[in-house]
Amino acid sequence: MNLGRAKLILIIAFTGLNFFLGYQLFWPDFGRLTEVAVTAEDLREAEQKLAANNYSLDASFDRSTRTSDFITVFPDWKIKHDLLYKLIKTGVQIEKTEHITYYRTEEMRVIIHSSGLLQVFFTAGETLEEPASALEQGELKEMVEVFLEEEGLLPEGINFNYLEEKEDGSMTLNYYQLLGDLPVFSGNLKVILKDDHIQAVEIYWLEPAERSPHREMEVISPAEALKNLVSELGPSGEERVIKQIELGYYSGEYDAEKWEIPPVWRIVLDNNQYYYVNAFTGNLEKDAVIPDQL
Amino acid sequence: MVEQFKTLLLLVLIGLSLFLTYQLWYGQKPAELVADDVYEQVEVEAPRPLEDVIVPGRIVISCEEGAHLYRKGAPGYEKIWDKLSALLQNIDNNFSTDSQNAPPEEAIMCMSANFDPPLPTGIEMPWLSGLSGSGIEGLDLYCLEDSYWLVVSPVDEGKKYLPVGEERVGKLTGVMEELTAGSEPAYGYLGPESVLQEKEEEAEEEATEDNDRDPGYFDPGSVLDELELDLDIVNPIYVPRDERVMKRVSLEAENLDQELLLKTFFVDYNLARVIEERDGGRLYTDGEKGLRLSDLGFEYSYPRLEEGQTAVSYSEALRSSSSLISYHGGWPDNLRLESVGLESRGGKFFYEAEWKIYLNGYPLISGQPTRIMFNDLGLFHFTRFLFKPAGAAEAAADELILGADKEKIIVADWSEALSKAVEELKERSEGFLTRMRLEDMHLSYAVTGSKASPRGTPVWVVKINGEEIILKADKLEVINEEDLI
Repeated sequence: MNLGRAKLILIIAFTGLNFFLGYQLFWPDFGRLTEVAVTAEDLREAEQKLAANNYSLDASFDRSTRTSDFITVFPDWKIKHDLLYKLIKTGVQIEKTEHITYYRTEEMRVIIHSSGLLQVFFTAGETLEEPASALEQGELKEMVEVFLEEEGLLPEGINFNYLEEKEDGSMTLNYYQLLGDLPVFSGNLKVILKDDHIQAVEIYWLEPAERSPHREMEVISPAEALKNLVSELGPSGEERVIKQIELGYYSGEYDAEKWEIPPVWRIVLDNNQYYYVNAFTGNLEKDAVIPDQL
Repeated sequence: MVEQFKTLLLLVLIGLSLFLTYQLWYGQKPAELVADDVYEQVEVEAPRPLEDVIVPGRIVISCEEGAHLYRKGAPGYEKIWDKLSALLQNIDNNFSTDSQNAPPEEAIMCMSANFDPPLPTGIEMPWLSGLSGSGIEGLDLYCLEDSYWLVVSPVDEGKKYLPVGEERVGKLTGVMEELTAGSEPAYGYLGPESVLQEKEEEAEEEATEDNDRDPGYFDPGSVLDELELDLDIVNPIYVPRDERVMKRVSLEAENLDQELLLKTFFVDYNLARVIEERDGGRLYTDGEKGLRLSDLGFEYSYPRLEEGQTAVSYSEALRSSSSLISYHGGWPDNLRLESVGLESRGGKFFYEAEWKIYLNGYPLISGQPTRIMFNDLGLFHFTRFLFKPAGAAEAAADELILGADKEKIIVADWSEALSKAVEELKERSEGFLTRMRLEDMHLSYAVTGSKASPRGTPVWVVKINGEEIILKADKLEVINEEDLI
């Protein structure tokens, strides 16, 4: 037998083996490879329900079947420790209550909550190089991020969310957290500006402890999440447009050692209202159900 | 060229086969399989029949010298309740309010049992199926030579009477004689006065005959006068006649199967997320309901169900409460249902049931109750914190009876405990004290110490004007509720 024939036999044998292994591995889930979670009919149904309740959809979303899992997180303390180290070196007044610690210097007032929330208030405000009103959103964002970096208040995985302008002239730049490429909407950073000064920064950042791939499950479709949200909210008084629907992670804040966060569909309305629909249960995520809060 | 292509193709196929083999061997299960696995069947304790759900709070066997008192967990209690329960299950239902059926004045009350919560009666009930209504709160057996009368106290109704033959009550009276033979009655009756007067009259009559005063009954008037206490005794209270010795007991929280609890509270517990609290507790929530597990027990709530109402009857509520405690943790030895009642909050009606563990006839008082709240939508709140003697159950029970000497304490006299409780109540009320009504007074165990090593401390529990005062049984020091574990 020559080498060429031997190779041919091996190619045929391995092709057969691979078919067998592939069959064992994917059956009966072959369909999943091409399956869509949202059919045209599902989408039409969802849009009808939205319309009946005075909502309309102006967002595109991924129609494929998605799976997800829980991630375990704990409050990130690195920024706080770095900031405190800096404050203590320059001299600081400290006052402590059961769940909150206050640090005061001439320039700033820092409040650290036991839940991990950090609030920094600048006494005189930090002046921007140019008036905020004269800047484009992108320029303002860049300037603010440079400032945060200089102050040691720029956490890793920061992702711009939206700019909120209030009637009193103040503006808030809202960011959320990315863990790798996954949005974690619970982790957020706010920069509050007024009269072209940065008045305060609020950071609630999370550190991932572990993933739970053994609990990976299929998530509900975005169409189902939309229907559940409308069922929960009921008809809207004025017409509302759904601007975005995105898969990420979200849970309320807990004053705990560590906790799991479920995947959610974040649904954004045109008035910057955010809703988080649990992507496993379909329930609207609200404050945690803590038994002794009854 | 062809040979090179074959070689390349062969290498790719070998590589692919290795990858697929690895995926098959170590790869993740398809997502749907993980989700489906959670709908497994769980095996939980079967709900108890009504006969085991309701038991008397106290059974008293009275005699001329005083009273023998039996509570859940005390030797003899189960024996006498078995016979009494059997009697009530087989009794004729010809109770009447006619005084002709009432026991004659010379008959004495030789046994009494109080039911709190009430014993359900009527059709489809195990006991007194012909006696309709909301159940009975009390049952007395009157004896006169070979004649007997049962007197029941239905809820919200007057007493009803039934003469019974010796053949019916023979087994019950046999057990009563067996239990009390050769032992001095350890308790005496303190009040209320109305009942006491009857007993005093009986005692005086006999004393006149025997030229001797019955020592079994207290004269609360004189005792309270001596103590300079001005209060009304509103419920029957029995107190120890002589010096009493109790023991401190090492306790441990019941061992709950936490995984099973998760399965019983969450249909799909894979959807529940975990929050690890700083005190070591673990909170599970699916966003709608929450379950906090700690080393001592658990706390569960499902706020959305609070919006429901209830329209079920008392007997249905009893059955539901039995099912709920059986499903979620089971029914340990010496657990007694202490109360079941219809409550309301914000216009919503629901049932609330509470249980206590008894140690050798004494209830165990812990800082957090074992209590459920439910309505027609289901269970919406449950706290369960039950303790048992540390170590093996049998050894612990022996310890409770025999005990190490250093753990023994001499219980302060009831009159001292009552004086101290009144003093404490006056202090708490800062002068705004209405006429005092003594509602209850009994010995108990309070769960004190630390969460790591809880202890059962003997205490006096005195309830005046709805307020419970807990005093260490020996030193009569006040134990505040927040000091209980």
